[in-house]
Amino acid sequence: MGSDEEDKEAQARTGANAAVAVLEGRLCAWLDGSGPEADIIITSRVRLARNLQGLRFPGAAPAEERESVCSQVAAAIAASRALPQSLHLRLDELSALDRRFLMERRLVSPQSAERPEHAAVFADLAQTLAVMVNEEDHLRLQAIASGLQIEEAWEAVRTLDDELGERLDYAFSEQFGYLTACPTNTGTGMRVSIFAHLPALALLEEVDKALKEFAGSEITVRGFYGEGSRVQGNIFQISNQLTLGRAEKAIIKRVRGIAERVVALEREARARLLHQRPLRVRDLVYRARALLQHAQLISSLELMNLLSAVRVGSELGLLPPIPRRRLNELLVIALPAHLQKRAGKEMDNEERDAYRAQFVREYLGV
Amino acid sequence: MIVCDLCGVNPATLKLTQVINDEHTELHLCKQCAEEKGLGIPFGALPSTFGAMIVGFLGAQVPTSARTVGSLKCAGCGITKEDFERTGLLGCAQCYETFREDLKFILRRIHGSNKHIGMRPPSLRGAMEHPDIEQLRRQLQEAVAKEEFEEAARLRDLITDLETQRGRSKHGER
Repeated sequence: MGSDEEDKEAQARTGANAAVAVLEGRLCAWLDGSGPEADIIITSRVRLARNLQGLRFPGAAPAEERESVCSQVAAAIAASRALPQSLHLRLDELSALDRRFLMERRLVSPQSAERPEHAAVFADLAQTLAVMVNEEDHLRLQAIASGLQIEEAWEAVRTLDDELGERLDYAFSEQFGYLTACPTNTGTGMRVSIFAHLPALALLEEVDKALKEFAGSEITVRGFYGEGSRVQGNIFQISNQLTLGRAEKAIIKRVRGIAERVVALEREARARLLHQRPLRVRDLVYRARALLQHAQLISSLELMNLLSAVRVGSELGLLPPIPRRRLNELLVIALPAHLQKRAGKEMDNEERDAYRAQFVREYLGV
Repeated sequence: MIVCDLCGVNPATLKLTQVINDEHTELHLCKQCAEEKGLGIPFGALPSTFGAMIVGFLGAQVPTSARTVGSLKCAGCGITKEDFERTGLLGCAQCYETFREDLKFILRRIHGSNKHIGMRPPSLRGAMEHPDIEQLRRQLQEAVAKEEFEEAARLRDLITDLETQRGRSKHGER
């Protein structure tokens, strides 16, 4: 490699690294615990999948076509009012650790983090609005808001989509709508997701019952169950299942309806839990606090469970209140890449777990 | 002992459950794989194992009457029907024309519909020649009266799009 090229590459790396450094100092706005129903709905997200006419989808495209997508999107963003003060990160200029850091912030997907060639992400400084380039589709536009704010997220992503759509030639057909790599996204290309913290429903083992109520509602629910079918972190993702043959507003209305119902069920379950199984709840909450205070090794999966318990303890008045924002933030900043960047070095599993235990203790002041 | 679905070696201690309506799909994982794949991330995405569920839909026999004949290959990207059936992914926008008949069937199976009724890209919103918003409003009222709510939603969004567009051109924007 000639020295000119080396210089250029070093410069590029500085650019991408500088952008990551900017993000390091700024947490995502959607972690701030504000917004309606934020005691149960942690975030609302709306994502749109878009592709450019005349170029193969990323999975089938040669390097020059993927590169062309990157430059077309960069030009469209630069020329529009969308994403003012946006950060532009080329994933192939970043280390694996930095890509994982972006993944923990929900700015890139695991697929992009693993396949960074000719992939990029644009995001505003608050990280509420982002465009991922060359993942499964040419563009994935997303807006994330804290609490139950689906309409606000939709408005933000729709504005961005309109602006980019005036400058980019989207692949679209009258019959099938927006054309996407995977037929599960065809049509509106729209996925509305809410992340709901449902500890009381989980403890009472009523999640399945609640889900049965929503059968036929065209939604998908994803949860992460631990040993003994205890839910990991008690965070469930609820999203629309169908994207074709439904108008965007109808999709939003449906997910909102389910979200409101889930909130009501969880609130009712919390009240019942306190009344019917007070000892069980207090035991769970105080045990979690004790572990946070004294455990020397905490994995990220275990931390999710502990945070879930102290969150419910704080919300139900069993513990001195812990700011919701701090609990939300830990769901991101205590993850492996964030911890390693904070420590300024790569760490193996055990080192990370030890550092996490110490860091969380200090952060929560427990 | 249940073995991890990803590494196939370690014992699975976690189970990721996806419920689509009433249908449960489960993935058993060991702690290490879960963390490595970013599944310990509370807001994380799912592994592609779930994404590949589309292949399940494809496994369902497409009726011969709806099948595109022969070993079809898309001229736009070179993807064959077999490639699509294996990965569940299309290669380019032209695939939608190449495999049109199969897709009409598959999309109906996935979504219960194969007709888009949502938004259109800005560049196409003006493609309708002199759209008569008043007439669209009357059609909307008729659709509501007939309880054709999907059509009503489509018309309502179309009217909103057209109004937004007119509002913008009045203000001299693009």
